Amino acid sequence: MRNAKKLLVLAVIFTMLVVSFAMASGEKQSAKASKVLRMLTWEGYAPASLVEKFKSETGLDVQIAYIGDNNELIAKLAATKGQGYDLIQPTYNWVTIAQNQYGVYAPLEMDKIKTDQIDPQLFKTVTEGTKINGKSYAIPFCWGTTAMIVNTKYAPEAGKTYKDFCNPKYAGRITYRAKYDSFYMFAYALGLDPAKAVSDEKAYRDVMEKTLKKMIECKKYVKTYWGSRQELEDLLLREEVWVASCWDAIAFSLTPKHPELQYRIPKEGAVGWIDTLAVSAGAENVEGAYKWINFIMKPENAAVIANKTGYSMASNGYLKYVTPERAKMVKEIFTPEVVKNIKWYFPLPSYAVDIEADVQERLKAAPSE
Amino acid sequence: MKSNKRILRIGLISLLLPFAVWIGFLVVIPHIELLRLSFISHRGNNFTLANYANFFTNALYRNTYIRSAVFSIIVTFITLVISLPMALFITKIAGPKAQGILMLAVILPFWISELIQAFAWMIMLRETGVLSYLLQLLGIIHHNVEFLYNDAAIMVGLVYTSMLFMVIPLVSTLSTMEDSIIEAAYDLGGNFWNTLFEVIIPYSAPGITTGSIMVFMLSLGNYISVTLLGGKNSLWFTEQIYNQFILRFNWNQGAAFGILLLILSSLIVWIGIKISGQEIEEVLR
Repeated sequence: MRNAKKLLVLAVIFTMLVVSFAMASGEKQSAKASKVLRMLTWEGYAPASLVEKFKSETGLDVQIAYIGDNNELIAKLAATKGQGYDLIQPTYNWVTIAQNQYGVYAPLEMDKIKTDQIDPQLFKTVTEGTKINGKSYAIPFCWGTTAMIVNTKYAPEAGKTYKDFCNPKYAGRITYRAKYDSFYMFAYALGLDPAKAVSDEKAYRDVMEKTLKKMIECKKYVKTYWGSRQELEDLLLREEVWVASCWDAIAFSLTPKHPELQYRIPKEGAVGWIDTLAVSAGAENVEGAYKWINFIMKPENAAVIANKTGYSMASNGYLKYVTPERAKMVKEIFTPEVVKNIKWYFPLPSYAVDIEADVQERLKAAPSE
Repeated sequence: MKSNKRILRIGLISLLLPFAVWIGFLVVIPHIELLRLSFISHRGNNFTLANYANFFTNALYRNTYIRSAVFSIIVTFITLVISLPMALFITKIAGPKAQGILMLAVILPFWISELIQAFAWMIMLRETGVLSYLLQLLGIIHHNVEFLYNDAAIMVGLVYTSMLFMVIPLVSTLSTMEDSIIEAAYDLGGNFWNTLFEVIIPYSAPGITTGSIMVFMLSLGNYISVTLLGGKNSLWFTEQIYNQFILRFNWNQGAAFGILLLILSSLIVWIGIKISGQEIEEVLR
């Protein structure tokens, strides 16, 4: 029995040793914090070449964690109140809800940002849209659109309107996501305006219910609701679908090799998203975060990301530095009229989050006949 | 004699400690926290039963649960029907060398992750996939046919991913069965069917029950295979839980669903054990 006690004591001492070691190394890490910039961002937003360049300019190491979607981002940050990351890149319309519910971001100090590098139109949209109590929480980083991609071999006429997602001519050859972007497309096609209705709970419920009814009606024509980029590309390249919702970046990478796949922006307008730069409420290296912001928005640096990802940047004059083919394609697709007609994603109040989740679940649960 | 006992006790404590820490930190404490969360209202901080009431009043949640449970029961049955002959063959017909190879063949697919397995099934079943191609080669069908994105594809995926958990308990019960028992059944005038139903199945009942519990729980708790293979009609109860946590940021409702999944599934398992006339202690052995 005495031996057992001895063993227990030993075990306790051992555990304490391990814990104190772990804590000590944790302390060491925070002492190092000013030498390290920790980012929570999307694949492709901090390519290795730029991380190298940043290090040689500022001496800061960059640690990157990747996210797959905005809900995951918020769930991750909410658990720690933003601690563990300095710089975060949420999508514009998700900033305020995360801030209101969990307070995970720090208000931006605009005098530390070289705002003349940033597209003034987008800057105004994002800083105004993320304002809480007079303080802005994000600035624009890059943007892109979701519209339609069609296989011109089988559906040359498609893509002039989102109504083609419900066109019996393409039955079984249609795919889009069972997510909010598709709901907005269907809503705009029905002549509804979710962006306007969102400020009123009842009006928004009404818009989404009408849209859901239409989408359930159209479910029989859908092959599947695509989930990942890979899944969509497989469906398109194997010619299993002809008409699909698609991000412009996917189209930019597919069209050069497969000219029959064309990105088309219907008359209702493309749905647009803006990814932002924000500073975490739990940031340990605030100065480093601003250094990265000013570094990455330089046109020649932003162009590196544009070339790699296919997204459009919020940096002024970055098109001068992208490949000529890319610049040509962007200018052809995003004419001034098209850009003016983009339906930007709008910030969601918490009731709207519930309404959207509810209709998405009901769409998936609905029988398709 | 006394010191022997002491050593035994020390051994027991040191063996139990990691297990107790594991269970305590990773199972008990998170579940207590889930239980606590499930009784708190979302965006408020007061006690409520609404999270549980939501499940029973909202037809969407209820029906999704029923659908998932019924599917899982069917999956369990199909898995049993496929696995029993496999286990019989491995233990009673195959030679010792073949036995090893066959067991390896059963286990091998589980060396790759479930995600990859699901993708493999997508390649097999899709419209321009392997199955469609083979059937055309044989002249059975004359144009591409879609086998993916339907309930049957979900079943295929689930049966495949849970087969191992049925085969192993069956093999371990059947391997304790003397061949002479089967011989005796034939000697007493039994044919194949009543030997199967009156001798082999009753003998392997504990293995069947253990395997069924595992397969049922795994299927009901599955997320990856169902979402990837099911396509547009694949709503599963686990997805509802995911949606609550991730889409709606409603941890309280998600926690309530998690607890309900645990309770209702345990209930189904308990009923299953009672109906089959088993004792829980027997099954766990």
